[in-house]
Amino acid sequence: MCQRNRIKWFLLIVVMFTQFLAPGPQQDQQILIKIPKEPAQVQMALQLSDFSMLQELKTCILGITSRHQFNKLKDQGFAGQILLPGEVTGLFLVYIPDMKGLPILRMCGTAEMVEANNAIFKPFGNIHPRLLLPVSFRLKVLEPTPLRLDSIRYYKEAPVPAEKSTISSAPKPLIQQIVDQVSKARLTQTIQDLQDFQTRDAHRPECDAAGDYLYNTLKATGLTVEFQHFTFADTSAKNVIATLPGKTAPLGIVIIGAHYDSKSGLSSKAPGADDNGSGTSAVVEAARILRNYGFDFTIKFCCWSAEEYGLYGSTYFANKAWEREEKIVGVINLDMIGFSNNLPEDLDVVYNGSSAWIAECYKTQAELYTNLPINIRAIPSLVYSDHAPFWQSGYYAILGIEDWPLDTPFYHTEDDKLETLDMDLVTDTTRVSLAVAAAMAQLEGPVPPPTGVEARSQIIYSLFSSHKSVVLNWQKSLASIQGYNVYRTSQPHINYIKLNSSPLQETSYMDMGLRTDARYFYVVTAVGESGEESNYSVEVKEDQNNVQQ
Amino acid sequence: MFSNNKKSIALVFAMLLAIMCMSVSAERSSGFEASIVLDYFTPQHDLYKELYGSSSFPLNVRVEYVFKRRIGLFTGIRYLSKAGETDSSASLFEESYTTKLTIVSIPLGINWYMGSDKFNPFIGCGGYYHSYTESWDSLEREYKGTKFAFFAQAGIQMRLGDQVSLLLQGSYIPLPTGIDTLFANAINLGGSAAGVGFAYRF
Repeated sequence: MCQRNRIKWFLLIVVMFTQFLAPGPQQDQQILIKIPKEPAQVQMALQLSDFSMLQELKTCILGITSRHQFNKLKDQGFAGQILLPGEVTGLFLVYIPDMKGLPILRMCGTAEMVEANNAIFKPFGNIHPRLLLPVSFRLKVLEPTPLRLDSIRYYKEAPVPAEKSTISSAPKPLIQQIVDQVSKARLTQTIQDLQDFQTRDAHRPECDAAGDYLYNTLKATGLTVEFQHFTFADTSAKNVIATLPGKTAPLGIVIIGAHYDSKSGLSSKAPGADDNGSGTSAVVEAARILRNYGFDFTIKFCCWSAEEYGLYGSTYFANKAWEREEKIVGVINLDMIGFSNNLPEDLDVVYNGSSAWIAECYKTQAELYTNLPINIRAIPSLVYSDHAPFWQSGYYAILGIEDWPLDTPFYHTEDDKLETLDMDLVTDTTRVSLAVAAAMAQLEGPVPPPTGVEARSQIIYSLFSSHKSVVLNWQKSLASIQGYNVYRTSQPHINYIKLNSSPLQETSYMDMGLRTDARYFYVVTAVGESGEESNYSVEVKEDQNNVQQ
Repeated sequence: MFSNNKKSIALVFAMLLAIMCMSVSAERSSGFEASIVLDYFTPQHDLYKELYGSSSFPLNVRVEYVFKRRIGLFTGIRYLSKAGETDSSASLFEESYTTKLTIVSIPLGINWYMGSDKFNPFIGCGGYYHSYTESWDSLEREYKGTKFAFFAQAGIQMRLGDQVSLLLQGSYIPLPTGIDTLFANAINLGGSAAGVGFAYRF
């Protein structure tokens, strides 16, 4: 055999061998999987190194991984399931009111139930599912989230225990003053103005005009207002964002928001008074009132668009905030706060595991400043409104809603008009939401809270034992003060424990001997010369290296 | 109830004992011996070495009953104590503690002597009941555990006088705790040892 033939044979063998060894197309294929939300199963799923999470629900987690890794784990007893084989993009989560909805979904695409009332759905063709599905179905577009599997919390649907919140449980005259300024007449007028656009379907120009109206209305309050443009399903849309900068710690951000787009069976006629003129009017009213006060943290008043098509506006906003590593203290999302079916009507405040403290705050503030009954509910599967993208980015957020499941006969109809609303409910909900926002953003006090708080941790270990130590640093207060206090908690925003017995003179503190399997959160206060304590600084999580001004 | 591992160790031990018994010559006498051996111990686990160094000097005190100068059954005590220092996951700030690792082990083993009275090589095996404690100074922090583990040894006994002999021996003493921590998997406190000591024949 000549040299050239030898080389040919050699190359042929190499090529064949490489083909033989290379993983087949099946093995590399990306698949959509459902992981039971049980600690042992989630622990196993952590071995999926290429896993990207799409959605956390009450009983399961949805995400994408490779078939190869999934099969490997399956051999070890992993109980995950493959959903919609071959489909990993263009997916939606759909809330269907009852099981009769499933055949309808399957007429429009491929669908599979993932838990009660929640189905995963891939529409046929390129038509947006909002245009195909009944208006009573709620939609959420599914995109990979930055949330990691090891951040999953396990909890039962139960009321929040009466824990000590960081929010004061004593009434504050200034917050009472804020609450008293809420005007039913102005709220009514805003809803009327929004309704007068006839429709605010995000595919139509009227929605764009409604965005302009909100821009001008918010601008008239004297706040800085901006549009945040985005596209969805080949349509451009815009969020409207007004900002009240914080006085002492402006990088901490409290958000009060609502979607302003609407939907009905007839896209040219969707008055959307309850859904969601009511929530939007509360946001506008909040901006009008709160802009006259000073807060430690920044407050953003957000009017999101394209919620009805799958939460596009708030998803864009939350993703941008996460990319910019914004320190969002908490999010209040108001969606449908005006329909009463039972008197006295209560407000459902829906939270996920980590956001319980905001729900608790709602309850406390409602008792202090209004007579509105608050029904706080942990429903991690309620991901069909604008709080959900914040949950998915690991932020604390709640949904304020008249009832869940919805009980209004006017939902997504041409009859969702102002006259069907209980404006007392809208007013009371706005009052309590303002009180919560004001408490979360911390009304400016005589002593400014410390800024630039930073918490870094290291683990000290021997063969069998270990502990965590956290070192805190903050900027020296420019005010004349006695010193500082440091507080720690293992749950965000509640149950703080003061760590020092007398005010610290230094601008650092070392907290030692902590459990290595727990996460810790810290706030620092400054103590004035006459002993008065400042508001808390922005809460920092150890190891976040999250410095705020 | 014995685990399968312990059962197999017991079986090997019994078989070895039977073989040795068959090889015992009748004309040799039996009796007790006491020995003291200082080991140079080299641990095998990386984190152990990192925190406590790659060597230590455990002391072995044993009593052995030797049948016909061929087979010895022994027990005793092995004591290892070593001071070390904690490590940290990051070097954000200076924080370290002096730690102390103590391993007390009680052996039950058998030796098979193969040579002459003056120059007597041996091999042996058995099991150790280990009790280990790791404590941190200045903090009331202590971790305690126990473990039964197999060991093997070989050496030579050289007669120096009527009753005294020099002992040179090497041993392999695994101590798999089965414990995983944040920074180490399957912590093994065992390793190999080379020792020198004296034996006294009663």
